[in-house]
Amino acid sequence: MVSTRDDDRGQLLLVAAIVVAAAVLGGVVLLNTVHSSPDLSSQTDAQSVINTDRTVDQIENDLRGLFMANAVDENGIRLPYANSRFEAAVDAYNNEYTRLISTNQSAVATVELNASESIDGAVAYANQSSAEFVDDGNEFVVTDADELPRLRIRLDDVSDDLRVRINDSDPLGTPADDIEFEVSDSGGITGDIQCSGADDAPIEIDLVHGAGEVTGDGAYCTVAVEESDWDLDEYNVKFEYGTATNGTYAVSGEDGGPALIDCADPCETGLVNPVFDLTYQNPNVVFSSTFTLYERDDR
Amino acid sequence: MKRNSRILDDDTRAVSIAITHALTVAITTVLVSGLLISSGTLLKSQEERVGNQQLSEIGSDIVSYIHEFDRLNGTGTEVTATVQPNYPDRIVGSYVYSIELYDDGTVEVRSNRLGQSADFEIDTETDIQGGTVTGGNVEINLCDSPQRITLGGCD
Repeated sequence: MVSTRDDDRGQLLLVAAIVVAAAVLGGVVLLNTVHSSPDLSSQTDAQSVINTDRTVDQIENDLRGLFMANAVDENGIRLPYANSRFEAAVDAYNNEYTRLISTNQSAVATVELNASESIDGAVAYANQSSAEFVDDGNEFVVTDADELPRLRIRLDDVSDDLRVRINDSDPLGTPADDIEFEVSDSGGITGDIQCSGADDAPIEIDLVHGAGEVTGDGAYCTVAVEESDWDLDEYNVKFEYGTATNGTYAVSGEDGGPALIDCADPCETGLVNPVFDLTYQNPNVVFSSTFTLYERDDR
Repeated sequence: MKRNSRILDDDTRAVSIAITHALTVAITTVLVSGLLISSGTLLKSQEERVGNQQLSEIGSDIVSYIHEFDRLNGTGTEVTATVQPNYPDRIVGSYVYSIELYDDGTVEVRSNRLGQSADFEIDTETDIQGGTVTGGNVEINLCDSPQRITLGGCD
């Protein structure tokens, strides 16, 4: 056996071991210093933009409801126009919404009616579903409108056909120049908008600038008049129907065309297409927009 | 037995302190060098991987903002929006980077010192106006008159 007497070689081994240990520890420290997570703190920021989107969407939906809730006729039918109380209603909504939104997040939203950009006009409507569709037979319900922001028809009886003709001349030009669609209990809706399943009453047609939806008894269609067709200098709306055609309608037309808008009685005048200024701000996002309630869609 | 032990105690043949020291130093040097070289390689590859992932994450985040702004632009007219994401000034702790948005709808996040970049193609309804920002000072804008999406402000 090798003697360990007078043996000092262990000192060198110890020094070597310390050097190795120091190198390992240094490497660990270096790794920790240089190591960097690939994950960045972008989650909160992304959420703030999504919140903006959601808030704006919510405000716009609320304004649609507020507009329709503001004007109701004597039979409780909501009409697409606003009276002088609407601006006060928007102010009240603005105050309430700001209070509501600031309770659970660092954000502020403001909504203002832009009176100078908002568009006045008239709404022709029928409010008795049991009565004949329009009192005085086939006639224009709206003439000389600059735009038709909303056209809503509800049919409670389609045993006689109803033809809706929209033309830029009064009297109507050739049928080929019309925007025209027909509702019947045999073929549903045909013509410039189509929904073959809508052949059983009640049938509801709701168009905003020529695009919208049709709902019937067991039928639902999204519909749109061709954008190039829905581009008239002025809009004149005529219903052609038989004596058994019953229902209600509301057709709003914007002023601003070559002649003053005229509509069949009953008719209300007021704000038919309001414009709002929206702003929303949170720590990361500043957003503002001008929102037109019935805007022509980029179809 | 006792006699044999005594013989070995006195036996110094094939024992050299100098050789022992030299061998120890040599082995230690080899071990430490190997450790340092492998650490350097590991760090380098990790740096590249993390740098690439951070560039990709920043780029994809910016793309999602641009798409979100494109959607917001459809909610009204004269829509303006600004977001200032909290991205780090540098990636992997020490490398500056820049973000470039091209008119054709390409987003490039690049670090010249790291020698890496991440490209993203975007397709938006809203027009894109080119712009460049540096890391830590990122601002994404939806501007009006005309409606467009850009980086670094609407001017």
